[in-house]
Amino acid sequence: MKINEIEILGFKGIPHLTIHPKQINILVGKNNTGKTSILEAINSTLELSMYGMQLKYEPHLSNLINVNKKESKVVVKLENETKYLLLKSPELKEIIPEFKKQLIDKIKAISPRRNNKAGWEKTEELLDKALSKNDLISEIERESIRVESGNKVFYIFSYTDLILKEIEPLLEYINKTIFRVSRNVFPILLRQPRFIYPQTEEKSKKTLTFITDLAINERLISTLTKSKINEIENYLNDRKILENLERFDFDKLLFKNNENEYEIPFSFMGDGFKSLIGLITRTSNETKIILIEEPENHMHPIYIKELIRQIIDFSISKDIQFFITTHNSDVLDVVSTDMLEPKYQDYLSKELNIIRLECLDDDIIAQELNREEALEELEELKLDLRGR
Amino acid sequence: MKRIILSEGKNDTIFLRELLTTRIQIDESKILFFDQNSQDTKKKLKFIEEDYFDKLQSEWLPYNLLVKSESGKTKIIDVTISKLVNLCKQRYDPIMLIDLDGNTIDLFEDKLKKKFMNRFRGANLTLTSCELLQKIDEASVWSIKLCKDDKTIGTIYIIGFHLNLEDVTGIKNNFHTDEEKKVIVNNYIKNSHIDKIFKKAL
Repeated sequence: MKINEIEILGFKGIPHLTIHPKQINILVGKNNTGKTSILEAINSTLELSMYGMQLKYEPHLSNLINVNKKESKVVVKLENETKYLLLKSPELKEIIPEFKKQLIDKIKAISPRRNNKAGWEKTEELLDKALSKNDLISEIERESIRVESGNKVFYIFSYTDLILKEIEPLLEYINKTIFRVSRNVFPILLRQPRFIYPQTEEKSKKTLTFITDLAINERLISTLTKSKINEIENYLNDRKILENLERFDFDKLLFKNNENEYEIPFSFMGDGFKSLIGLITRTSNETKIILIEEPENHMHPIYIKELIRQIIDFSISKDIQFFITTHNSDVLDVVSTDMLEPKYQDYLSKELNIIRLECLDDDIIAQELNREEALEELEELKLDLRGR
Repeated sequence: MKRIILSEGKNDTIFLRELLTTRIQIDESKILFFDQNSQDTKKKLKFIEEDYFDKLQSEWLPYNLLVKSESGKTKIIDVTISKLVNLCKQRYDPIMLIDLDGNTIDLFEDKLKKKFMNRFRGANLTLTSCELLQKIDEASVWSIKLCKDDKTIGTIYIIGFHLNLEDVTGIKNNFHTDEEKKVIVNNYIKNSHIDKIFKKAL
């Protein structure tokens, strides 16, 4: 799976742009030029999930559609197929029955008293009553989106303060008679879709990984197999990243210097090192596209260089395509100058695409530069990063 | 309106200084001249260049025209394309002063558009064809419009000597001193209609 072209129309702050990715794509530009929006557009299109979208964008779902556009469209051209995502403001006749159905389904999904027939009848009655109010209907209409991709269509609603206020009698009733708790917990549950949507929405073997933070956490560690830990150890030794390393584990790292052995807890290691490990832990044999936001955070320039090597290695050996946003001039130095070994430079000469994003009035303009052009305009690109 | 003139080399700077201040009569204190060959520190050239762009953009400094020499036609194209979005954002409408060396404008236009298309292939920007605005015996001025979704967002002006500045004025490199070059270009400016060409673009 490789992306050959991405066209984005009216997604968040991007009115219209097209990019032609290579294997390693680095997005640069000042703040609010759409770097993250491009990653999100790719992610939402290729990993379409009602759960994911609600979790990420609630309660600002309607803002996914650009303020100057009526709809939002993302077209991702892959090697063998084209995927698209179409976001629209739904028609009123579609959303009211859908809102009602989703709300009741959500309550039922987490309800401890599913057989309370009278309770459910009363719930629907209260909901119908609330939905007779124009204020509520207008707010639902404003704050919902219709999502279409292939033959999949669904609606997502933001539970704004106004909507929650308008359905308050219903929520109070549910609290008292169905949940039987004194605090109004249901609004919290509505805004936390992980309590509502079944786990099956999360794919176990994803071809796309969106990394917003390379840091390692306990949850991530608990999912790693022994072979993955061995892979990390081999990587560290092959690259000679840590001198005298004997054994790597997320508990402790064992070092041997002459005959002296000593251990250092993983938690004592620097954030840059952990970020380096963070990328390896998040890739699998199935991973084909990785989106990373500002991977250089917490990283010393030496580790940035190592991270870029790691990215190129993965790109070559596992055929992974990368989309990376950065605000760091060291990243640009490493990829465009002769700081890396010739084999990495050769690869970047063919497979590096620097996407420079700039605002022009209400528009966002993308320039695409190869490695040679990036080197020629390195200082110009760095000026963007310095914010001039 | 603030403007930028990009030219090929040092002789152009001498010519433009005389033309703009004497014949076109722009107050010299409002013009920033940047000749990269006269800069001391090559290493920091980019920073010095950016300083000049900053000075032009500044609201509290008097400058409204930056005259910047590059090292050749290709470099003029590179700088214009690289800074195109920013130039349009600032409404600077750049003027490129070039020597056509006996070629038609098509050759330069093709180079410019090729670089532009390669760089902005996904930006939905287009450049219109070169439109001739005025012609005199030794030079012409053309305009090219930059459009986004059929809306003009900027204009690039190209002023081209049909041959080259040196042949037109009689300057001989490695023979005339800068002071002599000044006298020669002034003599040419007085006896030609070149100011009309520049006034079309300015």
